[in-house]
Amino acid sequence: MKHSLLLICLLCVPAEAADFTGLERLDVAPTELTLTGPRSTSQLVVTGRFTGGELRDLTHLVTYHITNAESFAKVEHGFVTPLNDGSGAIEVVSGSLTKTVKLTVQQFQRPSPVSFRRETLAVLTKQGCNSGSCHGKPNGRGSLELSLNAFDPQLDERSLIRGPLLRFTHPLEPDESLLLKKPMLRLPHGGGKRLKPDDAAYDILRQWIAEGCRPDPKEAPTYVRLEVFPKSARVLKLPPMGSSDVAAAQQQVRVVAFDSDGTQRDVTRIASFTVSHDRIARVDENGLVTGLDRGQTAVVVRYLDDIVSTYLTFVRDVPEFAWSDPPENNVIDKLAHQKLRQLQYLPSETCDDATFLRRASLDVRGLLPTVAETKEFLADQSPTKRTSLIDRLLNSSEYARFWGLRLSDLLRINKDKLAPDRAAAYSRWIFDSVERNVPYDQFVTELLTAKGDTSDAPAANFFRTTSDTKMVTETVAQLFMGSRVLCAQCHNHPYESWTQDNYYQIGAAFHELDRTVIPNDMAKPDDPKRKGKKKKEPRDEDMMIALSPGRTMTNPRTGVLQKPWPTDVERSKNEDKRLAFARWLTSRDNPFFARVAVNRMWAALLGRGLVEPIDDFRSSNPAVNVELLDALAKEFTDSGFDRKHVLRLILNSRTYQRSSNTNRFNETDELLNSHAWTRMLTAEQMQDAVRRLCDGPERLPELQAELLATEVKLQAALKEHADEQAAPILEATKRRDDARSRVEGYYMTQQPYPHLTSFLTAFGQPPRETACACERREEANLDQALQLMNSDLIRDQVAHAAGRFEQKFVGVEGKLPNDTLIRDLYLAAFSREPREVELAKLIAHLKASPNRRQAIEDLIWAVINTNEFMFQH
Amino acid sequence: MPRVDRRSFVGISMCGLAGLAEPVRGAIAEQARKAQAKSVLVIFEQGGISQTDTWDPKPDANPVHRSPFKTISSNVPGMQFTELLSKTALVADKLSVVRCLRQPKPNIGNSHPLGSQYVFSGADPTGPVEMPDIGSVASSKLGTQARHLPAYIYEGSGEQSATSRLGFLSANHKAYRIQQGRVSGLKLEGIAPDRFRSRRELLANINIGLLGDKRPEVRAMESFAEQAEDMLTNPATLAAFDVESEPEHIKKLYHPNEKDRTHRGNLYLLGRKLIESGVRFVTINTQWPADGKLWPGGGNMNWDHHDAIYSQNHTNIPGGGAGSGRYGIGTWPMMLSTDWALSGLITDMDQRGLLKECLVCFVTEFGRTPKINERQGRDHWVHAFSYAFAGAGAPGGQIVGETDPDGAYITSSLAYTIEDYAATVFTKLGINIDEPIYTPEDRPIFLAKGGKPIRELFA
Repeated sequence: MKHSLLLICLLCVPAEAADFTGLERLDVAPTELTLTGPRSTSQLVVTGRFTGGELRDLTHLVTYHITNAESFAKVEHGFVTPLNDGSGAIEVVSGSLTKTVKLTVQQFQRPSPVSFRRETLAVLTKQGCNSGSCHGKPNGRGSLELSLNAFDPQLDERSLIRGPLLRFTHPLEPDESLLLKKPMLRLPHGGGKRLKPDDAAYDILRQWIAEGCRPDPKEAPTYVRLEVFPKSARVLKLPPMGSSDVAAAQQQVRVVAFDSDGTQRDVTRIASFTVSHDRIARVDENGLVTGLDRGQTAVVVRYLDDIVSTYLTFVRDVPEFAWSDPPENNVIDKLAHQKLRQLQYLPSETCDDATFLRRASLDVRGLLPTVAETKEFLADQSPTKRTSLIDRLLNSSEYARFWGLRLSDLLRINKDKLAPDRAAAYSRWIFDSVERNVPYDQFVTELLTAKGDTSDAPAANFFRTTSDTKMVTETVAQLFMGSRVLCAQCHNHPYESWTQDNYYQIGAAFHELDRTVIPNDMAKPDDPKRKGKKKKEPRDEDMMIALSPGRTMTNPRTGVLQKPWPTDVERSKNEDKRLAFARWLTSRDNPFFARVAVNRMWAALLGRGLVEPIDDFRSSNPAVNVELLDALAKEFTDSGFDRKHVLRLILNSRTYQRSSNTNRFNETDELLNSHAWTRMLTAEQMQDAVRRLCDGPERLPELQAELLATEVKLQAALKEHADEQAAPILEATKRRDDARSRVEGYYMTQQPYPHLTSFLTAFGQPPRETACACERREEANLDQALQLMNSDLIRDQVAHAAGRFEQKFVGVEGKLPNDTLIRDLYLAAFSREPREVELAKLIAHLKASPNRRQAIEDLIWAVINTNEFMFQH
Repeated sequence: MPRVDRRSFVGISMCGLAGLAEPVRGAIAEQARKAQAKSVLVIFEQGGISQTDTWDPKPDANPVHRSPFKTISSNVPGMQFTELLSKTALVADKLSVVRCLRQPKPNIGNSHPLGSQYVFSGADPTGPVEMPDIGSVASSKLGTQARHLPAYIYEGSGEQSATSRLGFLSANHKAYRIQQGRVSGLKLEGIAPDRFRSRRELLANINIGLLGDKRPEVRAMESFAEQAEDMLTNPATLAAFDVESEPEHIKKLYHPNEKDRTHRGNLYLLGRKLIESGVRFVTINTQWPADGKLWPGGGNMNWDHHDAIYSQNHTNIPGGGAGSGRYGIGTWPMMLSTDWALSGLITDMDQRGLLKECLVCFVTEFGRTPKINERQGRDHWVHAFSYAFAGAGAPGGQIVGETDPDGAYITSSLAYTIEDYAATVFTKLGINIDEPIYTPEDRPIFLAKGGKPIRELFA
């Protein structure tokens, strides 16, 4: 007991270390305060403005006095509790400055019953009772089922009030209620200790039980919205490393709820708090945030099932840090540097030409540069050669196919769902739109409003791969709004503000679609033509995508009819409801569309999204550099949704062109792109890199020449024979098709649908079954190591390459010039010349081996298995 | 823990089964902390084995629908199977046969792919989150016992082999799939181990490109490469798969060791070898290979006997039935090879002491109708079917649950679901199913959701 008294006294006295030097002004939120009823409380937040504009939260450092002799209220740490009716003021004192807040307490003697919907449920959320791992999971835990984060108060009323016949509550002896005894561990409780007698939740639950466990009366006001103070973007300064002055970088949060009758209630003590980045800060149950490290975090405030976030940035002076004013190429660098400078990270130097060439080539085309390209680029003396290279890469058709592949990944274009032909046609439509650089808003509108026969209208396959309204809703939201609304099908999303109603409203915009399989001769079992032919698989059938105007959608939980999203637009019955949705989605002001798109581009080039996961945009998951994301989105919309414009901007930035080497001022940075992000090649890039290394650059041109020759022969045959079924024409057609498939199947980064070999699967090629970017698995695993060491692909390619290298150089020079061989290999694999030490080692290796072919094989195998080859850096 | 009568203040009694369940569950939870199984071997016979023709004989059923196979006694008094399990009947004292499985999910009942995925994962495959196989969860929770072998090895040559799933787990826990016992990728191809090692030395010499990079991904790959080298060069790796090296008398436990009669037995034997080598979780999901010469008309020999279930050879019927290419349940590729292989597996594992710490499960995705249809076949039946278990503390010589005289519906007070089966496996492995695991999005996921361990297997 002594200890706790002592502790309380210490807490009462403002920390002596508090230093108010330079304090110019005090601001208190709210500026005046009225507490109505005995249970009404309020959290003050006191902000000090210091010389130079620095803001500090002083809520827990100032002293508070009630300016009234007969004390009618008390203030502890800025938390105001009423003691009786009265009026006066709170004096907030900090050093020489004082600020006065008018205070009125009224209706203290009037009873103030607990509201089930606005208070009881809130504290069940706060104590974690209705979380997804406890009673909020489907069917609950033990015998108590609650709705996830109280999103369904009717279910909670059934579970706590009407259904269980007072099983959990005991109004005559509230303290004997299971609802209190279990979480206080007075009875065994699987969820452990969840409630203490001094929690605000305890008083609310106990009073609610004692008042007879009543639901809210029908006419009771309902909760409308939440306001959190401070609003976003406050910057707080951490004390120097090693200082124990935690109060220096604290921030008290204040939360006010607005009800339907206009009432404002301070709900700070019954709201729940979490942070998005627990390395950066922590937050306690009363909303006091303590900074831990440099960076930005969202403080996520949950009240009932609503979520509001406020962003805080913590900075700290790093000893010896000095901003070096690195050069800036464009707006990206400007904003990236602002952030780095604020958080005191020093960017790495710009990478060398070889690294840049390999990186840009892989990122834009998916392919390694050829040896010839590398030699030319390294020799080029032009100061603008990087910009020229970027333009060249962006104008290649390999770019269109590789970036089309990234889009196709998310559109479920696989040959199991669509027959290979249809999948290829759909992919080609996408490749083509990327190649022609069709404005992205136009592309998405075409996609989302497509209709017709899926064999003739490639885009209509979007509605074939999303086989029902729910799937369309979830796909559209995840792809273009960066929102995982899937959760909202069954319950409100636990971390974002899309509700179950919104889910069905988006669905309503797409619910008029019919997917009609077009009958064909295969469908009729008695048809004589069918005899001997294989029954068609569903993927082989033709399908018509058309509208059935007037079909409506209801929320199945509430039975309420849902207007199509956006709900504030009047539509006629026969109007395609998708049009207004597409207009809303692709409008310049849509908060998601452009941001999600540029974030995907950023992630593809920098290895990590500004928002991560890249398709998980929500207020509780802020971008690491909000200003940069906004600027990229603005560039995108201002350019008329020009994808190449944004890519060019990023590729030309210093930020993209940084070295992966770190310095002592950025080695801990993982988020802010102060250095390049080393990452493994994707499945397709890896296989193509191996191919390009081992086959050499000649192989594809050879195949292309062969294709051209077969085309010529086919044309000749067509001229010569009148009958289209003539044997020479059929033969020539077959040869042409074979040659074409060899060309088209050569590079995996250029394919219309995934091939899913064991090699590609090991490196994470997605089967394209979902709209989630996470389907492409990026983590390192054992199978990858096994594949690179011992797969058929590697064995065959290494053997082939060894032959090529051996013969090539024998042919050219008549002897075995080891250094040329090694140079060539290094240029092909790493886009750089070997270093002297590497050359020496490898020449020794080649000389020492009795079997030259084997020695070369071993060398190529080793090169493929180096970090430098398998990682992009 | 003192017992507190916590319901005394409630006027209405809440006792009954629900009241009893709590302490029982507590007892099992207690055991869960002491894992009874270090490893699990699942024999998944896919297609839906007819329960009344195997584990749950019904000699008193209506003769029109009755199985033609005689009811026989086992080496445990009162424990009876049909004669299709006559070899297995001799090891009944090692088996717990659970006759009260049911699979009450209407959206899955008729589907082999969904039903199979259900057995692999122990979770409703139509749920919002794709669930990993039980074996993948075991790998992620418990890791490997033998670094030179994958933690979860899966012989996948049955019709529904592609329904194995990794779900949201990391790629290292993916089922390492082999087919027909053939290992691919773990055998050094075209290179001698010595040369392979010298390649690795050469690599170590030149792998200096990203030397300064401390990125976890880079370091992870380096560590996986070391493990891969170990796997590829350790003779124990391939030895674990080398069924042929087993002595004749062991092979004969599993099959007659005659040409074209070894397929199923060898794969069961492979299961034993992998468990013995320290693999955490092994699933054998195979079916007799279609060979038009040896088994004319046999194309897809799983247990999906919609037509001519009692045929002496293939089940193809004039006009086409509901499935073709099977062989009658009483033929060699079906129950005869299965009975031999299973009895051998139990005998062999028992003799080696492997049953002490390995749970063996013999499972299928559902049962078959007690009534014979107009094509002399039996269709899918989800209301009652049988599993068998051995080892890891599961009592031998035990029958759990009971069905009516037709084998149609469960009449015992006990009834278990696929989730209960999964809960049993997890609990035997010491994996606590009361604690959720989390997806990368932090969604809590409950393993074997809603399932309770089959308590009779925890004696």
